[in-house]
Amino acid sequence: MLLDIIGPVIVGPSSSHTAGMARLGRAFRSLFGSMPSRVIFALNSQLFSTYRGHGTDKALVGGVLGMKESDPELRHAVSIGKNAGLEFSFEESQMETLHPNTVRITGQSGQKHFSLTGASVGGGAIKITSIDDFETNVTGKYPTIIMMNADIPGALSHIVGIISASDINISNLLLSRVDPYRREALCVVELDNEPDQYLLSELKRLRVVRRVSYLERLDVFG
Amino acid sequence: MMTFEELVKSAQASNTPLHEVVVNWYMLNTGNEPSEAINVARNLTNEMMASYSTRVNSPSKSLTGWVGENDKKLRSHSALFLSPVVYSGIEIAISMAEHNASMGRIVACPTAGACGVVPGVLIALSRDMGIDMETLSNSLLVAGAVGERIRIKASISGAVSGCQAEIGTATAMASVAIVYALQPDNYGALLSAPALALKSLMGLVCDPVGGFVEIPCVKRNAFGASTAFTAAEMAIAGVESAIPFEEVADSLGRVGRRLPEELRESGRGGVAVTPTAKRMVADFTGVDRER
Repeated sequence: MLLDIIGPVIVGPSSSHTAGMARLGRAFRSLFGSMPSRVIFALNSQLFSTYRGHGTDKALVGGVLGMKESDPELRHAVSIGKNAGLEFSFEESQMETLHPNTVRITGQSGQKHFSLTGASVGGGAIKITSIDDFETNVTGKYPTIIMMNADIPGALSHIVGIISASDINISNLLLSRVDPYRREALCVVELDNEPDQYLLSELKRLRVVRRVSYLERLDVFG
Repeated sequence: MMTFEELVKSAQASNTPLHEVVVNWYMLNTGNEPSEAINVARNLTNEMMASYSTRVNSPSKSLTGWVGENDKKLRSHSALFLSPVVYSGIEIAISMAEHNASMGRIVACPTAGACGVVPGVLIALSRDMGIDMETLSNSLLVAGAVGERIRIKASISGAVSGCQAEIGTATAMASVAIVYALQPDNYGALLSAPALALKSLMGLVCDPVGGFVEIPCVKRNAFGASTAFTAAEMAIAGVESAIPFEEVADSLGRVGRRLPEELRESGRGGVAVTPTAKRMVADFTGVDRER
C-alpha cells in the first residue's frame, strides 16, 4: 500500500468480496500444503447473498488453486478448477457473531482434513480467525510461519531457539490451544523478514513440531 | 501526525517539493524508506496505465452483464462541451471502472469501486497535456496524503460512510493531483482543490443495485473525474475554499456516521430500491439460478 490508501493491485470488482476472498483461498492452500481433492466454502449469510455477482466464487476457487488476487485469470477460475478435478461447493452458513464477510473453508484430500475461517475486512485486508479449531488473528501483513506443535513444556523454547539462530526478528508470536487434552497447540510466528527454506526445514525437523506451513507477506502489487 | 495543511505549510516554509515532504511524513509513520514510497508510486502509476490499455484492447462485460460498453461509446464520440483533457478523464474513468466490474486487474484508489477517478485524471494529463511519468507519480504521492487524511478523519469505505467516502475521497485526491502536476508550488490551490472537491460530493450515498459494484458506481467515476478538474480549475483561478480541507474531512466523517444503514452499501436504499433496479436484480437472480 502507498500511504495505506493507494493499492493494492487487484482483480475487481470488490476489494472485500473478490480480492480479500482470493487471499483467503490462497492462505488455505498454503496451510493445506497441497491441492485438496474436495473443498466446501461456507459463506456468512450477507456474503452468500451476493457472491456470484461479486465473483466471490471465482476468487475463492482461484485462491485454492494458488492464483493471486491480481491474476486476471481469476475470472476463469471456476472452470480451471473443474478441469483440474477439484470438487467444490458453496453453502450459506449463519455466523452471526462473526464479521459479515466471513468464510469457512473446509478441505480434504485422502485422510487429510483441514479448515480455516477468515474474514475479508475491507480494502483487500484479511483476518484469519481460526485454523482448524484454534483461534488466531493472522493478517498476512508479515511473513508468517504457522506450526502445530506438541503441547508440552519447552516446546516453544525449541521453536524460538531455531528462529533466533537464523537471526530473523520475531514481530509477533501467538500460541493457542483448544483444550489441554488435545496435547497439541497452534503456534503462529510473524517475522520482520522472509524466512529461507533452511529455517523452515529446521523447524520441520524439530520433534515437538508436527506440521509447518508458511504464509508469504501480502503484497501491494498482488 | 501532521494535517494536510501542516504538510503544505512545511513544504512552503522549507522550500521542499510537497511530495518529498509527504514521503518523509510517511517514513516517520511507518519506518519505511522514502525511496520505497517513491518506487511504489512509480510502479502503481505504471499499473494504472497498463490496466487502461488492457481494458481498451480486450473489453468485456461485467459479471451481471449490466455494464461494460459505455467506455467504447465514449471513445467513438467527439466531445461537444468538454475540453480534450476533461473528456479523456471521464472516458478513462469509465473504462477503468468497467474493467473493475468485469474482473479486470486495477489499482484500488482508494477502493476498487472508485478505481477510475485518479487514473482518469493522471492518464488524461499525460495524454492531452504531455505531463511526464515522474510528475504524475509525484502527484499520486500528494493525492495519497489527501486520501490518507480522509481515511484517518472519516473513512474510505462506502459501507461505513457512503459513496462520499469512496468517489468523494477519490475526487479530492484527483483534484490535488491535477494542481500538483501543473503548479506544484501554488500552495493556496493545493489546499483549496481537495476541500472544494470534497464539499461538492458531501452526503453522496452508496446505493449499489443488487449490492454489486456496477450501478451507479461505474458512472460516478466519470463525474468524479470531471469534478476533480472543476475543483482544480477553480483553485488555480484563485477561488479559495471558505472551509479548510481538514474541517471538510471532519464533516465528511460526521455526515457518514449519520447516514442510515440503507444508504451505506446495503443495496437497500437510493436507486437500488427503484422498480427498475428490482426488476434487473430479479432477472439476474433468475438467470443465476439456472446456471
